[in-house]
Amino acid sequence: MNKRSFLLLFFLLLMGFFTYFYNYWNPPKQFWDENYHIASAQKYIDRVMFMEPHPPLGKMLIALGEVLLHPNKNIDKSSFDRTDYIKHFPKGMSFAGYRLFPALFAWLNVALFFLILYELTRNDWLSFFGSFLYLFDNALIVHSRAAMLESIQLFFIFGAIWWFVKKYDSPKSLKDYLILGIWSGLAIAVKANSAIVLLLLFLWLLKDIQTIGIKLKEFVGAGVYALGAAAIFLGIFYLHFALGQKIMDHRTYTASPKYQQIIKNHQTANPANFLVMLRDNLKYMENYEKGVPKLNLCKPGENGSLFIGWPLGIKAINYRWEKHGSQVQYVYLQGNPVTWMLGLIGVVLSVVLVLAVWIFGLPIKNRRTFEFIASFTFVYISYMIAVGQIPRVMYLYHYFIPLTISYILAVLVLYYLFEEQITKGDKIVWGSITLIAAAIVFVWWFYSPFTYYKPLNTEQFNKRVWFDYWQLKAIR
Amino acid sequence: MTTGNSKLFDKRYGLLLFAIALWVWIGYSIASHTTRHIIKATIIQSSKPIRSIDDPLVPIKKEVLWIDKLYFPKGNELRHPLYGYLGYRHDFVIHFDAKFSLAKKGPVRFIIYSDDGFRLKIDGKEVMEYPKDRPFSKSEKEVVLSKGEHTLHIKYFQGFGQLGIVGYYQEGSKRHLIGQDGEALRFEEQ
Repeated sequence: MNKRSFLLLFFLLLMGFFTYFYNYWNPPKQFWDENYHIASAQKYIDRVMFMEPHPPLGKMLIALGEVLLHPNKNIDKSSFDRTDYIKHFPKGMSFAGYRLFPALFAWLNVALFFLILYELTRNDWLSFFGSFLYLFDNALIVHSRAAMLESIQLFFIFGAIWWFVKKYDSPKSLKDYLILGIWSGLAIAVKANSAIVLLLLFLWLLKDIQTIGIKLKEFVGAGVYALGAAAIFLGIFYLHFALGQKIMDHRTYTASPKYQQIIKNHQTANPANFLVMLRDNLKYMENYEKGVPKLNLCKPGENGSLFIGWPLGIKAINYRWEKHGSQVQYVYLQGNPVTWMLGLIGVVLSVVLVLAVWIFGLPIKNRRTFEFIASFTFVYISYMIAVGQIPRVMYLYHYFIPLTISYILAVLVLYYLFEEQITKGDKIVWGSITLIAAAIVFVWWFYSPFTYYKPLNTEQFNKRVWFDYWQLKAIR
Repeated sequence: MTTGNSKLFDKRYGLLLFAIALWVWIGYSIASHTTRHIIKATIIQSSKPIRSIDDPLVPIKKEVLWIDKLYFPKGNELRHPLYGYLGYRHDFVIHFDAKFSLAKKGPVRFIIYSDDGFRLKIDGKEVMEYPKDRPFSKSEKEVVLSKGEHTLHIKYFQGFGQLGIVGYYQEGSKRHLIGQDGEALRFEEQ
């Protein structure tokens, strides 16, 4: 990267500060899953044993933010240790600590997203404008400015993708495999659906087999990758066990008598007990997932949605609202329609291109770009197929991983189609890109009341209901 | 620059066209979802049952909405295309107020489908009414109106069960929803 690239990156980070990070502690009221995640995070702070459906890393970082900033040091939060769902938050409680790392990672994701695009296209201006897709997506922003897991998860996924792209067509050392394994392990240690990053290893191996044939080094590399991912994943769980040093109010979850005895003996940090605690935690996670209700579209107020509707933004979720006379403030999970549409177009055109090449023998213009398009299309489709098999209720934010992949695809397809003109600085092409980028920013601003808790009356709200299937509903 | 072998189309202009179309779509989406202040609908929810148009109300909620056409289709809950389901099901009254102008003197036929009753006034004078409850049914009346500005007021009530009100006017052979402009009759933005 040259000086200009760094300047563009700096400018993106500056904008990202305002879209993702600035004022992230507002509203100072909980919404969506914060009731769960803050309860879990506080237990780490107070060394209380608990079990949870998600792996521990995200909540550990949420707790770390509270420890670092400790804005609630004079507030009694001990009740958080006796519940998994906080019904009433203490008056005057600040969310600045708990939300610090989700907002911070979301902000840093801007840089990682730029680096991914830069590695893919080697064009800093295109990467700059392409980053607008992440930078100005209202759904990603609103969800990331809360004590929730997805922005942290995306940070590690972006890290894995960046490393995957960076080393894709160069000879890989075992250290490279290890680094990809570490990124993957960190992502999976936040949320299990990050396991989609395992496909990156598969794609690396496929590329190497194509280039140098089947070699022992590839098998060793895969082993090192698995080792790195497993070490991180299990290491995080070790930390989770070590921090759970006491049982609060007989809340043992599904801890076996042996596990309970380990806690009584203050032996949770003893590696010899690791397997017992891991087994009990994994069993709890499995049972918890079985207990989550299924999607019921006939249920009034159902927030869940079918995965096939996600690319169209189905369905928006009203996380929080507050009415003041005729004005209502909202925290609404609603995407930027322009970025979501560009992402969908990116996916559709990628599928068309891949099929045209593989079925109809269309000549490939740029082999490297085509391989990335095919790879990310494969990851996108794999995620959607996998998530379609999950019987429990799922929500629009479960689309965030493929959504960001679709953004990458949109930029790649544009680059594939107009590489020559982009490189030469063709005025018509760059004018068009600027117009598209301006549209992204304008629509982000237009939908920003949903993102930043700004008041709207019913008419102003309705102005934003461009499609009924989003199921945006004004509070009157 | 060409696409494929056709040599007919410069794909750079395709991208430019897409970028322009994107802005047109944004503009259209905003404009088409912007409520025009044509008809003022004042909804009053009563805690006391209402069984006819002049029954006294005990108001527990009052809400003012602006709508572009008198179209609340038959159903179990009050619904308008601009607002979706509005949450009103029983024992409420709506006052609709609008202004329109006629380019020339002539007969105008008003057609109201309602469940339950309604009363229509033009320039403060009663034109027609159905004061009691009924299933979704039609009432119509023709009036001769002078050239110039006029006011329209409709009071509608819903008691229990199904509901709905849809209003049309007819000038010549063409029928339009109340709120939408015809050839000689034009509604005024308020």
